[in-house]
Amino acid sequence: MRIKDGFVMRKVAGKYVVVATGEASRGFHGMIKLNDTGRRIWQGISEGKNQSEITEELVLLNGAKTDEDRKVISDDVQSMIDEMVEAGFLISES
Amino acid sequence: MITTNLAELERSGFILTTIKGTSMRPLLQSYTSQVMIEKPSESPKPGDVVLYTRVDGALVLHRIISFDGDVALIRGDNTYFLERVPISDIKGVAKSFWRGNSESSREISVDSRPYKLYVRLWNLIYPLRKLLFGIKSKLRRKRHS
Repeated sequence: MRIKDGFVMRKVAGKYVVVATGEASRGFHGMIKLNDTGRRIWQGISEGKNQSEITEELVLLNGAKTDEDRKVISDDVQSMIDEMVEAGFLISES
Repeated sequence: MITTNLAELERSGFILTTIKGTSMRPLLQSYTSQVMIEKPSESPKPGDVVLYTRVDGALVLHRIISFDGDVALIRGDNTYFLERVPISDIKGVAKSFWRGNSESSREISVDSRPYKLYVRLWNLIYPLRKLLFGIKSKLRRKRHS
């Protein structure tokens, strides 16, 4: 998966925000505010990491030890990726 | 021209949006540059780039040149006419710009020295720019007639 061309993340007023530029901005006019987890997922995808690598990174970062904690993080990553695909920011590549 | 949601500005106190149109060239490039706009926390002043609504509902981002009572006299950096805008129609003030559309584009704060220098110079040479624009328009008309 990769982020569709034209979407950039900026740090604005202490918050991370994604906005469309170029051709992408003809169809998307708003902005997406990301929390810290969202920002790390976005950054991970930008760097070419896959879903399990991003999940593992967040597991380590949050010090998740139990299976339950890991599942919460894994579900968060999955739901954000689902939302991004639905909103058209992500391209799934096989 | 700005295509964004004023409700978002009201809700978050700021918006980040991509510029459409050429009226703020050379500072901002259409479909490429982005601007961070905040809800005004104080009275806008000459030199500020402000977001305002026109009577037709369009949202526009241009620069305040001066004031005439409760009316701001506003002009785009690449336009040659003054627009009279009631201060009450000003919805936001630009605080930062990104001229490029890559993640590595540098943020230009309105408080930075290079930006302030640009504003001073660009306004200073306005009579010359207007003269050149007039000559170019005349030549264009002549060529097409």
